[in-house]
Amino acid sequence: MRRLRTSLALFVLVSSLMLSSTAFAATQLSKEAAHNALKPIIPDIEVLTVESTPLQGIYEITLRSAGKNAIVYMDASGKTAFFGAMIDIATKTNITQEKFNKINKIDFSSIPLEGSIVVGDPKAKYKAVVFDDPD
Amino acid sequence: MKQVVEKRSDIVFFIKMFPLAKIHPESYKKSKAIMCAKTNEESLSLLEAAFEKKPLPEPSCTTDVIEKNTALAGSLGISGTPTIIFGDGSRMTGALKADSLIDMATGKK
Repeated sequence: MRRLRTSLALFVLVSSLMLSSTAFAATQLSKEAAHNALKPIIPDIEVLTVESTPLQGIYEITLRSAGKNAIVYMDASGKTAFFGAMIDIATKTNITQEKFNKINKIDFSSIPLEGSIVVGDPKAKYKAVVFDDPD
Repeated sequence: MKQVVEKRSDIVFFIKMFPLAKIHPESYKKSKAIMCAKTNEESLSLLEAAFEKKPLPEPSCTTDVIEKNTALAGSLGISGTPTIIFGDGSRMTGALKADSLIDMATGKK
């Protein structure tokens, strides 16, 4: 009798734990859900990653479309999305721009160096290309 | 940038004129004038003059280098200046201090 009660108690405990984890999963955003939600506005979308952000309920989706990588934000309902810059106020950094730079690393060797103003020794080991506006 | 290459002779910058014509209507002409200079040194002095808001001569040549730079910037997804691309492919938009530039150029970020 005692054994039955213990296993019953265990059963109730496990199933209630399972229920609560399912409840959490329902409010998260899967890659497939992100894909389906965004396809109407980005027909050739390929979802790369879905991550949570410091803003509760808002997910950061990195995606590929028209040969470029981009970032969009959306909640789990998939009804509203936005493109924009997310700023960390304490560090004054543009979180979106930093992520964008990370997912869009450039093949440096593909950049033509001619037609540039050279500052330094052109044969120097560490090269950098600067796009600048004279104004 | 001059500060950087004085400190580190193993770093070099290739500056591409990328006028943001919509925000700065004069900068296309200035860019052309700079690139029309006959030597690298002349281009650099003209660029410095531009930064100091000194007047520049009229462009003295025809060149499509500005158009090439603008197309290149577009293909790389660059829309702001200054944007720096480092050898490892990472990029940075905005002005940087010499020491930060050195760290990023040599991959010590």
